[in-house]
Amino acid sequence: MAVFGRAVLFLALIAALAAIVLALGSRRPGRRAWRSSADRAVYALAALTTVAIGTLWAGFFGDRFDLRAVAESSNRTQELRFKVSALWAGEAGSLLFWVWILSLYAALAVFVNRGRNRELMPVVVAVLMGVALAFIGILNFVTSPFEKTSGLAAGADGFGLNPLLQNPYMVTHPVFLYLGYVGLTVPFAFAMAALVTRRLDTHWIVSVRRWTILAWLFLGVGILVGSRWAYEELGWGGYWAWDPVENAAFMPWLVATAFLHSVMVQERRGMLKVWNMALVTMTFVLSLFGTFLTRSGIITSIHAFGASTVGPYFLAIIIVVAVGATVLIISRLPALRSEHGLESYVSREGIFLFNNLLLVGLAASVFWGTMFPIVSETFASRRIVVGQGYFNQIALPIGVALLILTGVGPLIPWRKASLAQLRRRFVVPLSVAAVAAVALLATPAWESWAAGLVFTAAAFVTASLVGEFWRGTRTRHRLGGVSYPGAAVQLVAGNRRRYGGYLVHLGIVVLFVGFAGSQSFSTDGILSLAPGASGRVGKYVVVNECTAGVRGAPDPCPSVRTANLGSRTVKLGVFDGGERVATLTPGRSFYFASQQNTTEASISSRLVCCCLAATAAAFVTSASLPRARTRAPRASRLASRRRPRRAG
Amino acid sequence: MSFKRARFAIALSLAVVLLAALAYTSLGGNLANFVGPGDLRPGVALQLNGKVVGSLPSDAAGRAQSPEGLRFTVADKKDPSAKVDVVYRGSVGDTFGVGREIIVNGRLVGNTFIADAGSLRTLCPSKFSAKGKVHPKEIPLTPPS
Repeated sequence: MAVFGRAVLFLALIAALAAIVLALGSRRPGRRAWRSSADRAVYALAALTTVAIGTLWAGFFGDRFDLRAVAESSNRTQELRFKVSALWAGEAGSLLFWVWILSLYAALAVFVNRGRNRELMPVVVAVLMGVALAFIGILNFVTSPFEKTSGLAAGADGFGLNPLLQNPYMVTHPVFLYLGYVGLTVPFAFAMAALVTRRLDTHWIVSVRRWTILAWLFLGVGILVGSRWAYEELGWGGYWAWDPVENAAFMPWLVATAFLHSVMVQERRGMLKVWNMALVTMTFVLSLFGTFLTRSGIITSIHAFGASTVGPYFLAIIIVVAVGATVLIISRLPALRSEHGLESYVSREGIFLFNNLLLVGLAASVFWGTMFPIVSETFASRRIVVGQGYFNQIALPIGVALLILTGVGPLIPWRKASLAQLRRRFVVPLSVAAVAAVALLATPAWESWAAGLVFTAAAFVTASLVGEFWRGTRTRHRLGGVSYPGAAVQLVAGNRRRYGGYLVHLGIVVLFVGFAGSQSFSTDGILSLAPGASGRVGKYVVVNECTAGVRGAPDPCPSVRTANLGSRTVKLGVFDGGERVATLTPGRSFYFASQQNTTEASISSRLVCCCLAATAAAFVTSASLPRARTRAPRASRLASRRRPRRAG
Repeated sequence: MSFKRARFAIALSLAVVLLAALAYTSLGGNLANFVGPGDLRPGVALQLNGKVVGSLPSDAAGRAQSPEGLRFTVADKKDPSAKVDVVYRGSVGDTFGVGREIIVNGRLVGNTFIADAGSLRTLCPSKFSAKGKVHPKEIPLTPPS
């Protein structure tokens, strides 16, 4: 299996190299047939990496502990789904997973563009395959997923996957993150192709927009799923802790968001051409930088991926990409001149410009805070770390400004806005915001000025966006004679890009309300509850509903024992004024292979109405676990970490 | 340079300066020296990094929630002879234990590192193992019964 896997990876290396040579060669006159061969080499690479990853997965499913990757991240009793995810738990496996996704993206890009972008595609293929070649080179010559273990005792089992990663969110989180990171290679490849071929009109922008949205979406979902996992895991700082590895995923997402907005300015007005090139390059470099940060170990992170040998190779790739792209952009500056100037700052393009400055500014600030220990060590000979307070102080004003812009942008027309237009469009959203600000005085919202500000801004943005939907629907209803629901459907279907964007903006509002609520209105309490006992956290009464020891009564808090782990849960009823608002089932597990305990948090999210959200979590901090045999708990120490909270 | 371009350049420069000022002022009060047990200095904000050594009480998580807090010893990663006692209150991650690498914020008071409540983070026990490691220790094929 190891020999076969290595052979397949070597063939993949040849396929990537062949694709580059054939693609670049096809640009010469009389060699158009080479392009088909280059395309076939891309498909061959996708097939070969699929065989390679299939082989490694077969190793995991077949418990082939003679493979180091399998021995270090799997064992015989591990659940099947965690044998699947164990593939990307190790360094070499995750790199193979990266290459596999890239090869599939490349094959899809070639297939989708088989009759289009004839000038761009050879360079696109060469760039994509160049990146793939670098990664496959690392897999062939630096760290191989098919490396064999030494000194294997007969019948020995593997280490097993780290129990913290034996969580459903950890099955999907890396996949989404990689789909996002790797997906950003495609827009970068198109940008470089546009520069090389001097096709610097809006053509490449149109071609990459969907790719960018797809990668941006995957990256965003990956970050959210990771946040959810960190929220559940004890000692990981909640859903967001500004850890370097978290920042590494956040920075490319921010710059990609800026790019998605600024491309519209280039499409509509032929402006920001250099800026767009810079953004797409920055996005890709930051996605590589994220991988470098996690692999090199230059910054101490809670993720601590350990000592690795691939860091310098990633640094080399980053330098080559950044320098190469910068030189290319500079050499094409005359052709990247804007077709129009900014007529007014009070225009849609002006708002996009502000939004871009804020997004890139936030990314730069996060980068500065993340890299500060390295900078201080280089220049001051001592490592100084930046606390979460820095990131929060930076993110709050920029975040609120960005939130407000998501509502302002849709209200302002392109080119220039007249005073009458502004008055007409802003009067309702501003009135709603004013009413919301006053109404919030009757709630605890203004106990935190930041939360009050965010909730008021959220009301403004919601009113602005709902107003846009309403105006469009009403116009279609009047002109087309269709019902209001029909008009609304027609409106969205007729301009999915615009109204899809507004839906995303509404999602951003929900995120901000959640951030403000969780940061400002959190109540912690520690309770020690025997079965049947109750305690109070804030206004909520928590009851331990376990009845173990009562004869004839079914145990609502059963112990579970599998070959992999033993676990015990506790049933907690959460009551508000006598009414049950949530039932929580936190627990503890013990993993036999790693001899490690884990805490299983229970979270209840409630949507009381359109603007009220509730979240609660609790966990057992020490409960008897079924190590040798299952015993009923006599008492459980319980800690309620978060209670349902109101937000806006 | 036209007036419009000059105006744009000034606005852009102003935005960058404002952002830099925000970043600079936000740094104040949020900096801490990242040190091992051998480099501790009294009276300044520190972020201590090292490995947990010695022994821990069996109910370490519960002890950390008590008023007196959890007391444990941290040794330097490179020089294990450099050690410091840490007193900590707050939540303790599942991976916390002897031999694990931790990061915790706080200050040196006398000979003891008084940690900020809730600041303890245990580094993930190496998803990616260093090269050269031999095969994992033999783990029984069946769980203990």
